[in-house]
Amino acid sequence: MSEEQKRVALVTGSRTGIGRYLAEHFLNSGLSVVGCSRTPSDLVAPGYQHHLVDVGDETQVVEMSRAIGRQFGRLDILINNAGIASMNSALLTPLSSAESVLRTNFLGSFVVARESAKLMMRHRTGRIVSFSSVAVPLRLEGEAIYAATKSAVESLTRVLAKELVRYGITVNAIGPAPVKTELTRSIPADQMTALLEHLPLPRFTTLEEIAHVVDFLIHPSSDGVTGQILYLGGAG
Amino acid sequence: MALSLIGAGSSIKSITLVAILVGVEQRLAEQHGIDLSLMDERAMSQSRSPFRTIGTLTDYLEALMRGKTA
Repeated sequence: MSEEQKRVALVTGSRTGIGRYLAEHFLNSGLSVVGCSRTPSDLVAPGYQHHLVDVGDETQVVEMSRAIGRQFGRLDILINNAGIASMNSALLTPLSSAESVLRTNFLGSFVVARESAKLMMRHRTGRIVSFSSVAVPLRLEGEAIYAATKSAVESLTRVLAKELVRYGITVNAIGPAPVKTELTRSIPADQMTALLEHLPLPRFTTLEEIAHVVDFLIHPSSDGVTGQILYLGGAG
Repeated sequence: MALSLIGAGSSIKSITLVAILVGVEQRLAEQHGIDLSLMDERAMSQSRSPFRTIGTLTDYLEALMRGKTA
């Protein structure tokens, strides 16, 4: 397959964790991959390029999107993965923390999806996969702001799915149980154990399991799967 | 008579207008190397939408491009 015909995937938050795993997974599948994060990545591979972008900064996101348009003339897959967590009692959460989580998790997902959809419209096909969390259906104490931003991502997913279906673009979200990444490493072990016990399948979601769901959602035969929130670990 | 893009007199759907505006942005970028965002705060805050007719859209585009090259 020529470079021009390769499917192009954008993975936000690709420096570490789920984003890094999916970026490498796509590269191994022969896709061209564009990744981004706020700090530099050490991922160097043929077919991969990295942008220093804070998804909460509209100007940076628009510039990255334009760069993708200029270089590839297309975008086929968006993995809207960039996110930050904040575990704290709602009564002890400063507004600045809430705004920061909202800006990255929700507004960032929105702006990246908006600009990506414009690129996908060119070929009337596209796959947008965002990340929610089991924190939404489990209504976890201490995760009020984080869960609220992920609820917003779910609503965005369902409405975008309706708006973009006429352009051949599907929009779905995955709600994994906790994954062993930098994001969850800071959570004390006893709190994590308590959190996992809320799940019918009380264990971490693996990166392989997430990639499996992503592969299903981005598969060319998944044209009819849109507006869905797919939880892992038995939640929902 | 001015060709209406939005409102009661329009013969196109709002979703078609979205496709037109996105298409204009892309052609300006690809064919002329001009990066513009038509749907930014300026457009949305104008009391009379610049997207009312082909004529007002053209005027708005020209103003944006003048600002870009000024």
